[in-house]
Amino acid sequence: MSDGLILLVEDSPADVRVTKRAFKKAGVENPVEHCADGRRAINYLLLSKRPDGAQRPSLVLLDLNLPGVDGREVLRTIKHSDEFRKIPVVILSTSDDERDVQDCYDLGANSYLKKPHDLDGFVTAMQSLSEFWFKAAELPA
Amino acid sequence: MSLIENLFSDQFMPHGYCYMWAPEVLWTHVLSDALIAISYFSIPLSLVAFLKKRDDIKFSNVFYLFSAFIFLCGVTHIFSIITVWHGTYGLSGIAKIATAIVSFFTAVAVWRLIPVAVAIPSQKQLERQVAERTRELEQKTARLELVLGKISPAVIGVDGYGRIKLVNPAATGLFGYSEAELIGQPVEILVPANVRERHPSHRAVFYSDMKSRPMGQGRELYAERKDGSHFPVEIGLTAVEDDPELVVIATIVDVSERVKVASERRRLIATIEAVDDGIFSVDMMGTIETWTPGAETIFGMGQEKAIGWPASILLPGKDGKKGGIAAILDSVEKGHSVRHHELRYKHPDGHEADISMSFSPIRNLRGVVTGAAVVAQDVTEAKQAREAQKLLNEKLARSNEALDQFVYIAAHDLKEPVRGVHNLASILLEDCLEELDEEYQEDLKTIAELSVRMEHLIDDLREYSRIERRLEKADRCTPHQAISAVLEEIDPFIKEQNAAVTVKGALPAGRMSAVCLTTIFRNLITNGIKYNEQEDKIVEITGEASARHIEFRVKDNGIGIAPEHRTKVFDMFRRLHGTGAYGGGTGAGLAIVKRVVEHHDGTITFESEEGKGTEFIIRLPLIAEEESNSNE
Repeated sequence: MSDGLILLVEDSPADVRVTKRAFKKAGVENPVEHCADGRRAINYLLLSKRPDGAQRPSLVLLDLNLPGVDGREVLRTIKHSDEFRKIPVVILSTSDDERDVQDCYDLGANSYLKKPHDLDGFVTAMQSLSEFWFKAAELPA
Repeated sequence: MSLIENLFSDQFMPHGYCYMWAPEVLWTHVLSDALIAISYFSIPLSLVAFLKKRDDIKFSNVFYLFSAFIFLCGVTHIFSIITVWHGTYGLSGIAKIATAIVSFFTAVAVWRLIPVAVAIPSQKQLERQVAERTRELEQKTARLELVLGKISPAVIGVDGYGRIKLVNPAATGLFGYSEAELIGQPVEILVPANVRERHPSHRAVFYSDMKSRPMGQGRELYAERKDGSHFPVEIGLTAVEDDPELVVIATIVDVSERVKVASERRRLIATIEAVDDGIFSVDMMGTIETWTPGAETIFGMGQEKAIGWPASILLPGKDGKKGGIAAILDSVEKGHSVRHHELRYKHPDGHEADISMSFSPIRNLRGVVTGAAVVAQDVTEAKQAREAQKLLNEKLARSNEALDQFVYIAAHDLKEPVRGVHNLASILLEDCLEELDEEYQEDLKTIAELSVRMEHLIDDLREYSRIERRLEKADRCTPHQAISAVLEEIDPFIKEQNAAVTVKGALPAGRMSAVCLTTIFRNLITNGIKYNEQEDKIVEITGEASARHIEFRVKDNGIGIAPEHRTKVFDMFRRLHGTGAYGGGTGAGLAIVKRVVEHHDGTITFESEEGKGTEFIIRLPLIAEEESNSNE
């Protein structure tokens, strides 16, 4: 699964840009699919169920504060679905509020990352992320 | 010759013939009869004279009878002499008849007198009786003197001229004179000089109407001691009418103490009546006993409607239930005070007021609670003000919280785009730096720097707005643990700055809010190093605990704070130096520290000398820990 798809759910164009940039700099070559809000993310996941549909993501990188259907809702949907709950979900949020962290783990988040302040931070974070999930960890089929 | 003629005839033979005129016999008889007659005439005279002098003699009639009998005996002896030469035996016989009659009655009277005379005490008996009486009298006198000496009122006896005739020890003690100095002196020496002249006329009035009574009724009387000092007295006058030497007995009581108590009492009453609070008292049955003008105002009723009425007219509430006078008196009876019992009182005129009453037990001399003293205050306005204040405070707290919440959310929302700008600028700087003119390169760098700065400002704003909420977290640690955690966190910075942070002595061991302590130490240590131009940057931390406070001192050898900046250092985002100088902080650190300290009701102050360094002193009340305990 080292070439598994990463579903990036992020509404900030700058953060999308920085994240993708960080993947590139960190040498992560997995394909990245971007959804700008919660509804699009869930749509994408549902589409991936079809045989001729989209590629099923191996990892979801989820921002919490999204316009419309927000990150918590997306997380709840994924973790309540028999189909998708095995997909690891990593929360990437600017919030380090304890309640947010607590809520996400309660809902079944696999890990919680605070968004780094700058590009270098992003690079380091994305590097560790891919090291762990795509190299060290065994992911479900 | 008739019978009468014979009786008055002297033709009988003179008695001298019987004596044959023998002169020795004749003169023996004549002289003896003469001496007897003279004696018999003198005895009645002396008896009568005696009776005239001793009018207490009983049976004086018998004495007169006896006198008459002796006198008549004398007369018969005179006739015995006459009949020697003249034979008037008729007349002599008549005298004898008179004597015989009087003798007979005297003898009868004497016989009848015997039992009565026997009853008359003998001389010895009388002497014994007199001795007995004298002893009794001496005992009585001694007892009287003893009583006079022991009784506490001063006693002074005065004669008809106003001279002192008698004093007891209490009197000499009271006036400071010896007995000898007083006896015989006019009583006026004990009267104060300013009324001394008038005293004899007062005395004259008393003498003219001798009735025992208190002296100077209705007036305050004063007496004068030997040393000239005056003191208030009460004087009772007793008239002694049948002794010309002792006309008036005066009893004098020093009433200084009573006058003092009375004036104290008047002062107390005046004070109580001057107080705006309503003061009254109730007995153990709850009946109102006293009532001040203040109480009239507060309860809107006069004495006549209050005194004698049950206090339940002021404290409606069923007996036994909290609030009733009976329940309060139950507590007062046990010796407890009831403080600030508040109730809503309906005035007789209909308007309502909030009254606060405090009850204190009144005890008698034996310590038994006999009633309650009550102080009542109209707290309507105070209560309204208190409630308004409370509402205002709540509103302010809500408003502050809302403001903090707003700042927190706004900061969060502001941060996203700023971070985006920063990151995109970073990408541009990496990818396209060579393609730009030097001027644009600088611009791009500036954009990156400004966005970083903006981020920091927003972070601090968020920190500041969120600090109260974070302080509510239960995590607690000792000051030592907090400092260790901070030093670990900023270790790279300390090393980079070539600084030394030391803790001198033992810090207080109590556990306090971890957020509070780490915030304080992080900011003060960082500032101490940041604003420091010394080769060897030093920050020293000391701490001590008193009974009520914990005090920390964080001292650096940095640049110090100029006097003109003393009031500004705790302002939010107040930087005293250029944007880039001293590591380019945001100016939020001290503002955040201050907010943390004040949240815990503590204080932060500093002592500083420019170029030498600054010492911050933080005092936190120990209660801060208990508060966070109760929040847990």
